[in-house]
Amino acid sequence: MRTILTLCFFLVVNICSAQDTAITLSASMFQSHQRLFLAPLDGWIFRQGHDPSWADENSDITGWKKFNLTELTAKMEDNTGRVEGWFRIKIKLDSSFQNMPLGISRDLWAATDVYINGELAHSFGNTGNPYQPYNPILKYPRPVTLIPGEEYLIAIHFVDYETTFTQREIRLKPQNLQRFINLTGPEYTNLVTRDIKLTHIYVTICISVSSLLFLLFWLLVFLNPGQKIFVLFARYTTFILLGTIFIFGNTLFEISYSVEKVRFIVMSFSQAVMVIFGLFILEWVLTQKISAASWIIFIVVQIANITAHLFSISLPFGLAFTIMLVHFGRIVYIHRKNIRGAQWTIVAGIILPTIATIFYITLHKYSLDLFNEYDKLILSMTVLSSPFFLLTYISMRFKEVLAAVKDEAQKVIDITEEKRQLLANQNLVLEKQVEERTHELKHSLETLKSTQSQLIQSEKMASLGELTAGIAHEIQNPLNFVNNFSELNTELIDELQKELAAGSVQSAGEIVSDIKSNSEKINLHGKRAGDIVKGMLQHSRTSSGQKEPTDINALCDEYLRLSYHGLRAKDKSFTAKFETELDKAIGKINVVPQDIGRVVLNLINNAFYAVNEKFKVEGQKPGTSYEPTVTISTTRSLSSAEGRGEVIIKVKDNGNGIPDSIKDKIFQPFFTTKPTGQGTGLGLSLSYDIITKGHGGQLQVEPGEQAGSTFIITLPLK
Amino acid sequence: MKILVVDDEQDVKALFEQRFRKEIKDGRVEFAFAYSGEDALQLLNRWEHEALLILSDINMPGMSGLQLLENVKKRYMKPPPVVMMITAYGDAENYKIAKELGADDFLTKPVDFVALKEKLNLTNG
Repeated sequence: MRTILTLCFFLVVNICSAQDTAITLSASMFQSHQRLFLAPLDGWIFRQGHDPSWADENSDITGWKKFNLTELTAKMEDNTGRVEGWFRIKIKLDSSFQNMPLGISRDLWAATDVYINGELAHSFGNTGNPYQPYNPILKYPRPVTLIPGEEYLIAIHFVDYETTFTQREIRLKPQNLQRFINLTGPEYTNLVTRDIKLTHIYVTICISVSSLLFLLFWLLVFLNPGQKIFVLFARYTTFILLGTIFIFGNTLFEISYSVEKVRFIVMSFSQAVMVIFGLFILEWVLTQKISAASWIIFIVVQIANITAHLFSISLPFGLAFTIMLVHFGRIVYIHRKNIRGAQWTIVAGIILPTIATIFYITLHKYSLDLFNEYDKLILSMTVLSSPFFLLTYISMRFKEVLAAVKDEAQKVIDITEEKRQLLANQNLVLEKQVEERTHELKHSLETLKSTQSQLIQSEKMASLGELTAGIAHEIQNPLNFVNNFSELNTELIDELQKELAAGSVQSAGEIVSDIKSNSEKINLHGKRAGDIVKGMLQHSRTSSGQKEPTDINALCDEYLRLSYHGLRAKDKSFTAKFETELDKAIGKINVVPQDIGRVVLNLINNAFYAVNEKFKVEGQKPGTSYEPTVTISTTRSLSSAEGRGEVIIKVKDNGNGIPDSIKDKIFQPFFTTKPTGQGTGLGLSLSYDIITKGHGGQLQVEPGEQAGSTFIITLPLK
Repeated sequence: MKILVVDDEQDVKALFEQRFRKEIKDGRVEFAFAYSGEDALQLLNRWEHEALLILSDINMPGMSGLQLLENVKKRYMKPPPVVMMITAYGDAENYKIAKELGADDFLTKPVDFVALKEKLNLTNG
């Protein structure tokens, strides 16, 4: 209904085209919040230039043209950039304005004087000298008294005087010039009151919050050097803070137009940076880099942005902005599957302010009512939502990091537990293995023991082998005597018979005593042969381990001879002197004769071997005085360490002695200095065991390197 | 004829003196005894240039019979005395060495005195 009425009204106005026909205004023509834009009304006439009398109702209006305020352009400026002129219109308020307090408001900066019926109603800025633009920010409307039903002549004198290189209001699009001058109702006054209040609230919130975020993020950078994401966030919040200051800067103080223009440009710049930097962060979070394409788009958008805001050439900016949105939209799309957890907050933190910005612009263009209601809120959203989301990002990252740390800790615990279990299992396995090995070892030990006894046996047989030749020789001598003396006796008995037959008693007596002596010798040498055989058998027999009273001196003597002849039998070139220094006081002592015999034999064999080795070298030298000698001596000492007395058997040679380097090894099993095949390496080791373990004695060596070595057997007396 | 018997067995003296009782009594042989190679060399030094037969055992402590033989034959005296070595039965090795060293004859243990006397007669002859 109202639309139809308005339509009728415009039709009427168009028909009554005469200048002095008053335009009737109705409260229904109010835009949002009781604001009636007078600038686009049809009844305006215009004349460029200035004459104060043009305010007068009766002044001549010939030469004035029909032209409303929204039709102003920069083309009208003179060479100093000044545009000046007068507008006139006749208006009449209908009854809808009855009892309504009215005012005049302006949203543009051009200095303007408003005359009503030839009287100056109000000056906005100063049109004169000096020129003073009018600051329209957060200003209450100027009250005017217009009585409904009466006709008024409104005359406007305006001056716009700015350099051509800044964005001038008159360059703005016609719809921006609509708010050149407005008639307002009380609701608009309320709106201004509310606007002032909200502005201060939001300014305070935005600046303090963005300052805090700025400080917080830079603190994060300072505390976490090397975290690139924090640096990006901190730079971003820096632009947010700057942007906030420049967005709201004109509400903080009575700003001059020149400063306002600078603020406007910087604000436009900052806003573009904010948006693009946000997109940079998004790209970085998704791809860990900022592509060259992004930087190019950033520069292009920024250039387009400046031209748009300086020269109102908005098409390139629109295109660049669209390309930017597509470019970053593409990045998000490509990586949409990789966006995880906290990264969503970045996406939201970038998309939301972008949407808010688009919403802000759209609202401003298409729904001023809503815009006026929510502009500060939306503006704050465009400014603050990003850093808030970044804060959320950090919180979520923190949570994720904590979760990851917890996860890692759990893993460590799990691994530890696993390892513990593994160790326990291994312990079991090890125990089992140890058991098995022990078993195997026991088995090996048994095998070794039997091998050892076999070795001992073979060692015995080896020394027996050495003995045999000696025995063969040794046994020849007594046999020689037994045979020859028995033959002699036969002969002597024949002679005796002859002498007896001849009756020569004296001769017979001599012969008989010879026979007796011979048969004693036969007996002696027969026994000797018997002893040799017995000794050999004793030696080869496995030790009975039975200790029995043994004549150590006889044992030593016997084995010395056996050994000597054994070696002689094997090696004809071998020769050596052997001496005995036997202590007659020893008597018989309790030992295992086979074992001690073996030890003595072994030591004597070694001694002969040593002197022979030396003789092989020394004997070849001309004029040598080296005489290979082996001495066996026995002594009885009454003052042993235990006070029990002891028998000491020393086997001394004048061979090459034992080098210090092998001194510690000679009693080890299988250690031998003899060429391969000539020694078992067990002799001394077995000897050592026999003396120390079998008899509680000691087997020591005095390894004189040049003087030859002396082996000392110490047997304790019990 | 003077015969030097070298053996480390003391009873050798009794054996030889009895075995050659008649020959000694007749003054056909004269015996000297040494109980080691070293003793033998000393005696030989003392009896230089006397016609002499040496009967030596091989296995003796100290200087062996073979060394004695070597000494007598190679370095000792001119004319070298006749040396007979007494070897153990089947001791081919010693036999060979003694032969190389210039031993004049060999006896094996147990000493066959009948054979020895024959050899001495031959030697005398």
